[in-house]
Amino acid sequence: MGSFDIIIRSLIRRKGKYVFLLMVMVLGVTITTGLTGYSEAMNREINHKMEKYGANILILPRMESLPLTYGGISLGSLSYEMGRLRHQDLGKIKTIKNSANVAAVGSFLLGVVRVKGIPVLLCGMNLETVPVLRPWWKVDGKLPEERALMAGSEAARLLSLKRSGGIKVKRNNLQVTGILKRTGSQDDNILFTDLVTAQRLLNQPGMISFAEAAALCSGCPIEDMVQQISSVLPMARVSGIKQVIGTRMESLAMIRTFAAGTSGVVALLSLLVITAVMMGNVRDRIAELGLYRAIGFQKTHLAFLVMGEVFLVSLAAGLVGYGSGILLANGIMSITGEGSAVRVFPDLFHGAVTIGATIIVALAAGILPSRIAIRLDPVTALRHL
Amino acid sequence: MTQITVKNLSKKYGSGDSAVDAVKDISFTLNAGCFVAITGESGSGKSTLLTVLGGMSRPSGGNVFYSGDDLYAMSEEEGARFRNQNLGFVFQNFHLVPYLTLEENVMLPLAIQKMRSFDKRQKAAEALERVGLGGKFTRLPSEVSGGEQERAAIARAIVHNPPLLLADEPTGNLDSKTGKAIIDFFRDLNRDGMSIVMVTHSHEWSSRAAARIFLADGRITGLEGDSLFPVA
Repeated sequence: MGSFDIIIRSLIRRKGKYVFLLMVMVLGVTITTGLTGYSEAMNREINHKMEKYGANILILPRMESLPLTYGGISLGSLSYEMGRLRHQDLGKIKTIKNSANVAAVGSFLLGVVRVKGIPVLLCGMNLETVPVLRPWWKVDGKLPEERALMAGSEAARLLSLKRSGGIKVKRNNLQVTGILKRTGSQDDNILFTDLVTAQRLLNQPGMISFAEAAALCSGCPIEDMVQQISSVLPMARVSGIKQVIGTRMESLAMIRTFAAGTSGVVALLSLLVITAVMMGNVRDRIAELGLYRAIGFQKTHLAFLVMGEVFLVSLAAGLVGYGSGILLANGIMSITGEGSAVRVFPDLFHGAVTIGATIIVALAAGILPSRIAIRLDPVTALRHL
Repeated sequence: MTQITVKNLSKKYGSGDSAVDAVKDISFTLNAGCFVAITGESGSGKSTLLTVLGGMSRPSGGNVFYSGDDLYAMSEEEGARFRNQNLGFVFQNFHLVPYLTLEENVMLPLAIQKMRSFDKRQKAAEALERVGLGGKFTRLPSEVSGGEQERAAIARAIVHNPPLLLADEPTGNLDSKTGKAIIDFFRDLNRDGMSIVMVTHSHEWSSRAAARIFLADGRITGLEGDSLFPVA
């Protein structure tokens, strides 16, 4: 028989009240965990989709244009290159603060070549970046190596190119190693080859037309990445492809704000309910607590009796609420149609934080009742029977 | 063994014009091994004097010394520790915790003492056996009679073998036969060396104590018997 036994007996004795308190706390933890889990899952899903989208940062040479307009007559505009990009310049991207978030950087060189008398766009690129920058590509055959090329589906049809066939470009015999399956984009009309081969064929050694980067955005906003790359590549115009997810990011921000606000309100309400229930319990037990004090229980013992009950109920509420919160998050995602992409799974760290926060809120709510308990005058308290 | 000295003790309730003197300028000395009844009419200050002696209610004036140590010079927590180790209380309404078994109720004073659970159980069993509740360890207070509740409360008061037992109207809610059994048991405890201070308004029970303190309107109107001395 110790203080802990008294706590357990008291919980059993007042099980109706404590079941009510448990349900209130479980509901609070469930809502908080559910909304937080849902917003985190949404965030992961957006990042996942960003990564599936491929490149999300475009690096172009800085261009200036001069309008050719006078007296209401427009003759278009004259663009002239202010900066030229070299493949080796892209190495500076490794020096930016968030370089760890850069999944891949690919260089592209564009130029027109004649094949079978037909002008066609040739694109040289770092083919090792294709899985990251063009994850949706499906190739009939394989990606080209040096002195080889791959044809877009439309280009292959127009030029009657077959896989494993040969082709002469600027007096160079190149092997067609693959045909890019239809993408529905401009890629269908282009011949692709290795960057070095393209530089040699187009007589532009070391030069590139533009570059693309794939940034993983969970660690930092894409705007920050754009800013950092711009600062190390002053000759380039860097822009982020954020329109694709802009609306969803705004929705996510709203969900996060809603989750944070709701969690705060729920925590406050739980705190008030716990305080009210525990105050009622202390009032019900005035004579009992007075007895404990009379027979020599210290103030810390009385505080332990009150706080111990709060602790055990909040521990149970944290455990049950975290589990049901995970179910709630997955339920919301199923209802909103997000469930197939990302699921929320129990996580030891988040679980510990959730249970810890539940206990802290509950113990904070128990402070006032336990102060009342330890300040009881035993003689006055013993008259409450 | 403890000698208790009370000097110029007074206790007021309320303040200003509405203040009530429950106990006024009381002094006496109780020797170790005494069996004293504090007796008087209702409202004479008997229970107030007992709670002050028990360290539960700070006096408005005067001192209570246990073997020379001033009880109210101790901090609240030191006082609580002193009560737990040196005093046993029998309250007027038994004050058994309704959701604990008789055995658990009896173990309460031991709950905050560093002792093996087995030893606590053994001491509780001995105390319950001693008051004649050997077969009712697992009963709840609501499952036994008033006399048995009283005996359980006495078992709780003596389970830690305190040198002094303080009892407030221990026979007040009992029939004559059960009351006599309780007083006989107190006499047994006293013979074994335990000091007992008992509040009662009954002349019958007070006459069976070794000494008596008579109170009226918060003042001592008489002292008689062994082990009880006035303090100048």
